[in-house]
Amino acid sequence: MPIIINLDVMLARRKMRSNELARRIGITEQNLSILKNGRAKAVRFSTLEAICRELDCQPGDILAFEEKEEEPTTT
Amino acid sequence: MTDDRVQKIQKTSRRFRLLFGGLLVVIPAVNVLFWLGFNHLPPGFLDGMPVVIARPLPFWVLASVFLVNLLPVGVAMYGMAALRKLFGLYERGIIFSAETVACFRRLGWSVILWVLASTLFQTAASVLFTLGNPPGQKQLVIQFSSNHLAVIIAGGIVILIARIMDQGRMLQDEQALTV
Repeated sequence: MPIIINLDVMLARRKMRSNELARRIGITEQNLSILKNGRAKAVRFSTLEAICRELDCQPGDILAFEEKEEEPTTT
Repeated sequence: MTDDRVQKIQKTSRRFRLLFGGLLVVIPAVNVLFWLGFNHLPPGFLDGMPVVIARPLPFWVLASVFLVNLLPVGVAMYGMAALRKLFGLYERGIIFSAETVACFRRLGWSVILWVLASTLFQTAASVLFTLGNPPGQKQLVIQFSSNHLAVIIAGGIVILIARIMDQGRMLQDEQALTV
């Protein structure tokens, strides 16, 4: 997926664990894991707002866009 | 969905799962008994046959008709197996999933195929039952009525419902992966 989630980087900078962030923003650890591992299909603004507030960062610090070229198939 | 509603669904689904599981055993057993005792059945039991039958019929005729009868019976059992699996999934609280969609799809196709199989059976049975008749009294019957058409349409509707449920499943999956 072209949208990259850099949550691990921000968590490391703020020295916060995933389970603590999940507790603070009111989502389950499983959901946070879905977000961290890039499996999420969508993020609510309310969740993004809560993450940015707790990690004192901007949405662009967590989200990045990288258009990947399709790998050529070899026969 | 509230816990009460989910529990009611699970309870009712368990009953239907057991019902269809039982039918999967009973129907083939009754089918075998029917053909084994065919020559001794009361006349009313033969009303569904495509031709008037002069009994007793020789064993090889009954065995042949029984084998052809396995077609519609097999399709019906396939449909019932799909229903048993479907209600098993509902019992476990799995409502919108790829597996439940597949069950609906199999059910729809089994309904349609059952019409074709039973039409084929009726035709083959009419030939087999009258094979021993004198010349000029052998018959080949092909039956297709508005009832058959209605059942085919019903099967098509079930398949369409499966497709719509698949869309529901995709929405649910997307919702589950929305953080």
